[in-house]
Amino acid sequence: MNKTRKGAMAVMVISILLLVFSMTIPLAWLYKVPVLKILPLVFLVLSYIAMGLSIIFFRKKQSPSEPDFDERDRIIKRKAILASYITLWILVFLGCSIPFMITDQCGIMPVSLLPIALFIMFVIVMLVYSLPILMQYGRGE
Amino acid sequence: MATNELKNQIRRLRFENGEMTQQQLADRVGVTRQTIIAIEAGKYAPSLPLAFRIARAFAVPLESVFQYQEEGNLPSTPNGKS
Repeated sequence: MNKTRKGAMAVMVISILLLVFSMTIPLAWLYKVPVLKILPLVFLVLSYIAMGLSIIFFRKKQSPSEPDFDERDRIIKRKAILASYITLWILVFLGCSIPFMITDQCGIMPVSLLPIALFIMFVIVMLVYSLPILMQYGRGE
Repeated sequence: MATNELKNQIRRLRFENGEMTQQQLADRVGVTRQTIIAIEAGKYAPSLPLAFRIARAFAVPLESVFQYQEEGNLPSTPNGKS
């Protein structure tokens, strides 16, 4: 497994954990169940553990002279960046239009939802970036 | 990225060159082993410089490593019928 694939795998795992973490925050606020209050913290700790483990995961190389990237990695990365860029545009459009549809022109919504929505958007974009990389490597072997 | 028209003899040439491993070939031409696997399987068409590097690693001309097969261009029989 080369560095690009390892990176995509690490990004995917961390993105999923952070996505669950950010989605459990509103749940913890809405429902006052003690277990739900701990959930965001659990997923945040898990994502930090995943970040730590990914450093060890990155260290091992198949061969000392193996390059970190080659031409195929660059093509795969370019396609993944394009996919995440398109996703970003779609998410920004949805993020701007959905609150209007839900709350109407003069509606109100908690200001704390904005950073959560932005964070979720960022994590989804990262997830979309990692998935095409893993799919393309999977197809090539 | 997948190329059914581009055939290659990398696997055969590796074995003819002292059973060279995919990793050894990858190190020689400066790519990852995954790229060699993808090229060998015909899933990835290498760039021209990489194709030349692979040919040089085996010390053979480029045509001995890669062959381009045009669609509908089937090999003809001795009497000229395909």
